[in-house]
Amino acid sequence: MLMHMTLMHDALRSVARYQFTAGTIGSRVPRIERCGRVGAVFKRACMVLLDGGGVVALLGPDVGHVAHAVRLVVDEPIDCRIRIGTPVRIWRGGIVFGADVVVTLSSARIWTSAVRLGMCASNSGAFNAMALTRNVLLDLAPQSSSEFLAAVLPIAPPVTVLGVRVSVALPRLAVAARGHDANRALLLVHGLIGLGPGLTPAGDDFVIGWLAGLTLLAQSPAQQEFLAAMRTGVEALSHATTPVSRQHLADACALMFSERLSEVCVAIASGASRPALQSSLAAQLAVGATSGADAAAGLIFALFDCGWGSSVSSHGSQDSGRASCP
Amino acid sequence: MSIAHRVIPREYRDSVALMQLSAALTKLPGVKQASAVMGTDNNLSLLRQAGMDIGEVAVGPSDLLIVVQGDDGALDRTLDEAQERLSAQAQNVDAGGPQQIAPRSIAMALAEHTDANLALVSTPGEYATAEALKALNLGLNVMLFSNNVSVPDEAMLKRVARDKDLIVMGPDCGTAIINGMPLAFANIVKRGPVGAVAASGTGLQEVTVLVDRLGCGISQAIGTGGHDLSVEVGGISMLTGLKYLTDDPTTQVITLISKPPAKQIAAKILAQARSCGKPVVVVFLGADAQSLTNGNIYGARTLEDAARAAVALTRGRAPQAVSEDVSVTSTILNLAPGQKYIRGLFSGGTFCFQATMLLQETIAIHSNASVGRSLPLTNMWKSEGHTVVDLGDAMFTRGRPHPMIDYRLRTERIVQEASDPETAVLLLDVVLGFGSNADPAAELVPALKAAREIAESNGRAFISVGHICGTHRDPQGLVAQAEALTAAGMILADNNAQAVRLARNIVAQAGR
Repeated sequence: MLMHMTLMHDALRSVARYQFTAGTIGSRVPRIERCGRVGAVFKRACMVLLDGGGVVALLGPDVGHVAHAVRLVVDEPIDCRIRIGTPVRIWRGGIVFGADVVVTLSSARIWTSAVRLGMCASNSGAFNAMALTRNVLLDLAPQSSSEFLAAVLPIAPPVTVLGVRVSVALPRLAVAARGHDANRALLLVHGLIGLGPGLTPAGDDFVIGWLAGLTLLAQSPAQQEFLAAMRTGVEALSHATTPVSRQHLADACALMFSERLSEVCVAIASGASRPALQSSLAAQLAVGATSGADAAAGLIFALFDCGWGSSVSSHGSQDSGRASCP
Repeated sequence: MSIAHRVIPREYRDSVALMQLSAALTKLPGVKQASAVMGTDNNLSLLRQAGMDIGEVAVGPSDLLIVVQGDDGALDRTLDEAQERLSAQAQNVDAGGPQQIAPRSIAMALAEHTDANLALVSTPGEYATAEALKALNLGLNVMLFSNNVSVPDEAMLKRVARDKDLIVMGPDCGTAIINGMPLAFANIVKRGPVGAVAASGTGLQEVTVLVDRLGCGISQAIGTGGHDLSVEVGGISMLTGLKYLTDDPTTQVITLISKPPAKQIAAKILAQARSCGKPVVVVFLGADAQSLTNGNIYGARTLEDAARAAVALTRGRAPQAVSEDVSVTSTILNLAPGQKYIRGLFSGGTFCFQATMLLQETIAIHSNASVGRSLPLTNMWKSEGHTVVDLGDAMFTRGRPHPMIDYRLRTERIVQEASDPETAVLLLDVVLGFGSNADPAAELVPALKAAREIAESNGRAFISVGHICGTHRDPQGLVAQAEALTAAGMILADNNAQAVRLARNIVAQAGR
């Protein structure tokens, strides 16, 4: 096996003009041979659309990981080497872009999300961290243009059509989540999928953050059943969004949240201090134009507005009144 | 008004690119609104809700959809323009092959420009400290445009700079003119004998512009950032700037500009100023100007006073008090009985501060700029009584560029104020120069016209008073801007202080 990989590695190197080395590989990157083409290229990221569906991303070393991505070791502008439309082949040992570029995977470690079901449910220290999270977000939010964050905190009245729609939809979603009404919730989530400009529409990012928040708090059978219904339902609804966002939603439904969002979740679950939360939230808000902030909005919405926080307070927190908004 | 759309199959752009494209298309002639989004069902529904219903079209989530609403003649042209802009972006990406890689670190840039001695840092705040520190360690002075740098970090950076005989301008330093080169938000002014150090961006712009208009010029204009004169930071950058200007043979008169500093810091700065051997004009807005005057130090009350005093001193004359009389002609006093309040909408924080300072001398004023006896605003989005608002406040700039760049919030608020029967006078600032909006008059004139129509159709007068902070050499053109604004009925004063007094006098005389 080792010899086979080494030979493959050498063969790939011999045909390629440029070689990137992957440091980590996301747990949901296909490990069987697949083909596709480059759908989008940025300075520090590249999206490969796989034939038959699915996306594999190539990320610069400083970009937060996702489960469907390969992250490079060296920071080099990806858009100087890879073009939109280039055919791509994924092998176990590497990814080949056209005839010019190869990404070697043989020395890459596996990356996976650290978020686990019910992480906060039996952890009273997490409760104060939730309150701190909201306070930190209130400090950071003015720098974000996320309509979702503005609606959830709330820090300003909606001024755009998107903002108005969000401000109407979220209270209804909160009611559905509190009542564990999965059908009603999915109907409302349907109205958010694919909502907003860009590769990952803001509505999708919000839903991902929301699923992360529900995952942290899910404890009772009713909550776990509701979350399971959301995971199944959201994946089914994800056809209504862009291919790139569909992959992010699929990852979230598999509870494979992005590295930055996972770091926020882990910080909350571990009852982290304000500076630690501030650091992880600042990194989360720096993701994309508003993607990070939209997901943070979904997270805080799940933690505070959906009434699931009471499962935390019942385990001894002294600050139980602040977990769920009325 | 018609609607047209174009579908570009399997085109993927990030949301920043699409939002920028939408904003750029909306500004094209004949376009009412434009949107570039991925063709998801929810985005189609959002477009319908925004009045851009394109009916049943073959578009999917993988397709980019551009929708334009506007005059018939403009639609195709705008869609073509959109596609050209997308192609241009794609060409940048698709160039492929080996390319010259732009410097990705300060060290790499310095290797290419070995004679550089200043780095302008404009990263998000959380990364700015590290970048500024790297620059200082490479022997570079720093202009730190970034905001959201903590005060402890600022103090640390400035101490490091001082130990290396360097200066950190900032953080949140929006304006500087170094060796004749305008940096960030700055105006094109003549070079000359007046040097300035300021903890206030628009304050520095106003003084440099007025010095230029008075026929004089600027040697160096050094920004320090608004927290420099706090106890924690200790005025390190203002003291360093003062020393630079003291040693600079081209600077004859030094001007120091700030909101009132901490008492002990003010004492330190005034002590150094007293011993510098050059005339120093000091404007600490809100402080007692008379008490500052001592020996070679001339206290000024307003930014206008400071500019006039500095120019007079370069000409060997003693500074004269500026007349505060601003006449109001009866033709602009046809206010309806209920029209009694000033509504100031400022893009420059220091203009708002100075307006609040001057107005509160005679009237109760609500403002988000906390000055002396000023009253807080219950709701920043709605005026109450006499109100002046700094629209550059973080509350307003969430998700938007600064109001000196993006006028949308202000134009919406102008119309909102005109709808209020209690509004008597709108008070505005218009900032020209590098970094500012390319054509402020084009943004303001339609709003002023709409506001006038609303007021007059309800039997009320519409009075707008403003000033332009800019010079003839600024890219926007002072004369063209002034002509367009006066044609739209705006009464233009020479500077912010005069505009404020004029607005105050209009309300006072109308009330008699």
